[in-house]
Amino acid sequence: MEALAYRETILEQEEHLELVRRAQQGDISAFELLYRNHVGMVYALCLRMTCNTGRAEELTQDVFVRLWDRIGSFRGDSAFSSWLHRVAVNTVLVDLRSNRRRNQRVQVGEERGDESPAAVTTPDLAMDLESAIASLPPQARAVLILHDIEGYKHEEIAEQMGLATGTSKAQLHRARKLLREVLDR
Amino acid sequence: MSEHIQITVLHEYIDGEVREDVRREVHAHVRSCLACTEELRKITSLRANLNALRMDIQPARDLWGGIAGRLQTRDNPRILRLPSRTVNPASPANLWVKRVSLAAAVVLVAFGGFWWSGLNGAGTWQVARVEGVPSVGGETLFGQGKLDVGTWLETDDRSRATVEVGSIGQLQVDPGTRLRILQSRSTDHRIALARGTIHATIWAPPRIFFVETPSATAIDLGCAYTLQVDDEGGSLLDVTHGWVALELAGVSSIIPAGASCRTTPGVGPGLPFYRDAAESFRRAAHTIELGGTSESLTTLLADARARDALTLWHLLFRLEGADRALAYDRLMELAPHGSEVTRAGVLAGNRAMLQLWADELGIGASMFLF
Repeated sequence: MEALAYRETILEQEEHLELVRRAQQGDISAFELLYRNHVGMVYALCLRMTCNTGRAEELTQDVFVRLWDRIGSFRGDSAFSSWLHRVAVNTVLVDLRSNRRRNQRVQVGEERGDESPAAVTTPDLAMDLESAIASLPPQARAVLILHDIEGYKHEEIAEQMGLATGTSKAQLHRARKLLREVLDR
Repeated sequence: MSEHIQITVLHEYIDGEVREDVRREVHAHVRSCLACTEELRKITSLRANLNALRMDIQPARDLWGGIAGRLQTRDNPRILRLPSRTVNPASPANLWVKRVSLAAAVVLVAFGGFWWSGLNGAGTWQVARVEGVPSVGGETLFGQGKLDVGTWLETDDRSRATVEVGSIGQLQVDPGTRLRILQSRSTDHRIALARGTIHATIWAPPRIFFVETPSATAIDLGCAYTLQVDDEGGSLLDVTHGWVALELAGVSSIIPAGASCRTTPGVGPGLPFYRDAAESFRRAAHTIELGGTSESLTTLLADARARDALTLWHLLFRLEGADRALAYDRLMELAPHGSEVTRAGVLAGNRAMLQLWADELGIGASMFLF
């Protein structure tokens, strides 16, 4: 029901803004409500990007700690959930970059994730797809998640990941091709 | 362009990231190229599956304890950017004020959208493929497209689509559906539903969005509903939010959330009934709307609950003489009217009195019938 979702979204946004105002004044109970309302969205992103439940939990905590540090700069120019999502994406991408540098010192080639959201939480037909996403190389996986699941544009992905727009497109096509190959097996 | 469209171009086409001239070229090519059509189908199918993945996954354990512990060691955020409020948000009274204000804001936004629609005219509506191969004007729809006045949108038994009704609502179009826009003006958005099923969600003021079926016109009064039209032209309306009116040649029914109503070619709107009414009650109502028997009337009146006053009130318009008196007496037992309404007035078909009784029954939207 699109209209209801639309109306609820307006109500939720207003309620979230009230919580943000209180959190900006140091009200930790308001901040906890913001956490409870958004943790699922943040954790889903972290889990898909890292394919590791332990790392996803750590990153989710990092995102909310970072959010607390930055919440004073939220001006209400965009929806709070969109702003939080960007904080989460940025946190995850910084971690992936530093993680890649660490791994490059000890191994050659791209690492693979060890767990997918499907392995942890998804008991339905989406399991194959989640597993296939988890099997993708990290950069292609990140671009696919941001573009096809989270709805970012190539220009935004390129800016956040420090890539050329053309590279983002190429990685997306590569990811989709690999996904189809895995799913067709 | 070479024999086949480059795969990267097909991806960008699906993502809506190609120039208009390329889009036209791809569109023209795939109409005659099975290989590229199949490739497009695979890409769109994958995208649809990715879109359907869960956006919300809860961690297996509560992470708040760890976060709260780390926050204890940090400074409070002290930069106040958003305007603070002087009211106490925890006060129940203020909560009500807030909710009423929010509701007003929602209404303003909704009406703002409506006026925006009016100022910008209506014309073409956006249509998007959800799954399968819907067609617009006989051409396969890949991704998104436009639906012009008079052009048929058709879904086969495996395809679905969504249609943006200007800026006043959305239709979800189920498999096996055929519809077209009849009118697209700011004060009159009208489609013909020849067969199939639509799920409509409309946030415009009442009587802006109309669906014409072979057996009645469904008139939106601010609502969400599902409307199915069968191959014989009969229909079934299920209202999930708000109100819908059904009309044909002077016969009208008004249907609230939780209720349904059938329409029959040559007969028009039937009697609205709540979906949780007894099966015997619903069967009897259907028999009566098709011409009826006295036995059906007896069953219907006997099995009616207080909530079924909705059906009985409509029945007053469809019966005459002694049968109308029977319906009146039963409705009085279930939900008696006030002193301004009289038995004689109702039995004589006094519309003002019927309207007053409808208001008392909570059928406030019946004002749109008179």
